[in-house]
Amino acid sequence: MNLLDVWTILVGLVLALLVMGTLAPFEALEWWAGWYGSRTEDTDTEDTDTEDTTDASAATQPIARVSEQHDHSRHFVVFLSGIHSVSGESYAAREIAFLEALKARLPHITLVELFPYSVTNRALTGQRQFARVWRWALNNKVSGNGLAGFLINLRNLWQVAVSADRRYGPIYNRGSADMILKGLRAKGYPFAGDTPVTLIGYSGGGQIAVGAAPYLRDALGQPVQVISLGGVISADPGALALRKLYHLYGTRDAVQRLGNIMCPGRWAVVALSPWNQAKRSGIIRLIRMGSMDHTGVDGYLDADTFVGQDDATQLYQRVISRNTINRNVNNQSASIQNTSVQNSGSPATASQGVNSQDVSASSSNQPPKLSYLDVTLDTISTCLTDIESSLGAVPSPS
Amino acid sequence: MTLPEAIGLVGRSLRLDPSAFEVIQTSPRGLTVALVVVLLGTLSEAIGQSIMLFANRVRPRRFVLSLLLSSGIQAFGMVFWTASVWWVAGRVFGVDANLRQVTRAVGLGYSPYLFSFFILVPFFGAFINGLLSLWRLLVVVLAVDVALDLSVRQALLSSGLGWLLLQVVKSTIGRPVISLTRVMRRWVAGVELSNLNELFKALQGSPSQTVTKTSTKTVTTSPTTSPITTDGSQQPQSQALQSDTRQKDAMQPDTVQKDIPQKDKV
Repeated sequence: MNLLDVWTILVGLVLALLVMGTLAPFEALEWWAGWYGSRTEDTDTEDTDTEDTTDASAATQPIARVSEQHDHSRHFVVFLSGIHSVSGESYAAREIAFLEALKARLPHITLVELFPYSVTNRALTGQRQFARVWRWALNNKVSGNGLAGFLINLRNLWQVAVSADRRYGPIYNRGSADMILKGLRAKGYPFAGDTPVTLIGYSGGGQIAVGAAPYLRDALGQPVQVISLGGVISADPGALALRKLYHLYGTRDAVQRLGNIMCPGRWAVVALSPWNQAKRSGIIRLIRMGSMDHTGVDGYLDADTFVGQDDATQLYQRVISRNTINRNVNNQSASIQNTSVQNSGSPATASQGVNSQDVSASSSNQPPKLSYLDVTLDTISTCLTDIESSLGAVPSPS
Repeated sequence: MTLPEAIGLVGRSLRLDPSAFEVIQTSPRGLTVALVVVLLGTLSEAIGQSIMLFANRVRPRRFVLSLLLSSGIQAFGMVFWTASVWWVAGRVFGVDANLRQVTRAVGLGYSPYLFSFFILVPFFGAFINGLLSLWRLLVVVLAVDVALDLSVRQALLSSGLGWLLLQVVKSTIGRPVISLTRVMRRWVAGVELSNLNELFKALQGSPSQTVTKTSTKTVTTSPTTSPITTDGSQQPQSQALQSDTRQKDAMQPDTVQKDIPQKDKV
């Protein structure tokens, strides 16, 4: 292959990339312009749709009905998946395991899963012009075709860029906020009160979460919190509308570093950028996750890689101290729930979240064998507990 | 000149190949090619800047008409730029320039603008816009250089001063024309065209998507001018603001809804 061929291929790739980027904002723009009209669309919150149809009378009072099912819910957590996703329903084994473990660990939270790379919450494989392409890509990705997975990642990464763009950001982020509100409503969020809402943004979901923050604050009447798991985040002004932003990052995660490199507002020299202002005012808290990678093996959600000797001491100390806080806080939470929730079956106790491994570790005072997933779960649990403590939703340990 | 030859000519102009600027002057179809490049380039630019039309919620048919109008106005601007370059070259450098020659040169100089639709690319749009403007200036300078047999410095000054003259004319005696184009844009778009800053300032706390549940599907309606509601209902803004207090008083578990006037919440 001569130099001319290489050059031609390179130019072709750049053009293909630019064409993808050019098409990226159209969904949000057409939505905003009202070009979608009253098109009927599939929704990813199928469970709620089913609920709505099973009882005709319930359709007029969905919030009250669902609230009865969730009356011990004290914290709504919206999970915005990574750029590998094609719909609000996780298909990645590690992500499914993570969400299941999170629910098991913190049973009092109500989890809302959304596809953040479409303001209309339409799955890539749903009612779209290129749905067949994305179905093909998904099938191939599941079969291990890396290129197909790369295509999906690229498509969603452009949506992250739309959210971060000054021209499109306000429109896209407004759409994301609407979608999140719709997801909360579908899960029975009690809009009348001040029940906390925290967004967990994995990868590109971090930017979407921060971008939607000002609109959510306006709609909910209170700021939301964001836990960014390796989030690719620009210097979005939305950071200043947050109550708290926990940015969890691994030292081997080059993807999350993209936000740091590509967005000048993230650089320390741009002192007046919203990001740096939020850092100074204590909104942003950076949490290093040891030598974790963004995804896959060695990624944040990897249950098969264990914390190595280098990370062991630092992470172990943190994990143990946090679990101690968790246990104290959650035990109080559980006792409150036990007394306040009457006739609701068996109220879940958050103390179940502290696994036997941790307990044995504290008693023996030896570093336990912790997987990366354990550490991630533990850190996120701690962040959620911190939020609840600071809001007074759960009494903080004195 | 056949279509493939014309495409080849444009390709060479993009690569700043001087032979392209000679061919555009000597070819019998040179002027046609130059004008087609201008029209396509300005149309591409109009597409690249169509965020304004989307943001102002221009309907699809009017959207297309607005793009065409925008393209025409930009092409008109090219005519003035050509005249300015011709005038400066004649007055300042004493060149006995032919207006058609300058038109062919400046017209082909618009070839980088064929890629102006890439301005839509998120995050990199401003960078691409700057790059294309610089590229166009280079092509115009070289094309004028070849057309009028000037030195590169003289060609640069002619193009630059010509552009400057155009800006001066725009902001002085050209103002009525600018106003007229605004009126035309508004008339074709069918809505008041606010700039993005104004729109986005108003965005926080105004229109929103509303969602209505149906039996098996979710009907997503377009964003409306109603305030953001968290219960999926929709009501006119003034009515919502008036009824806010009553709603809070009458809030019942089975009809609970939160309709927050934005200015009160921030």
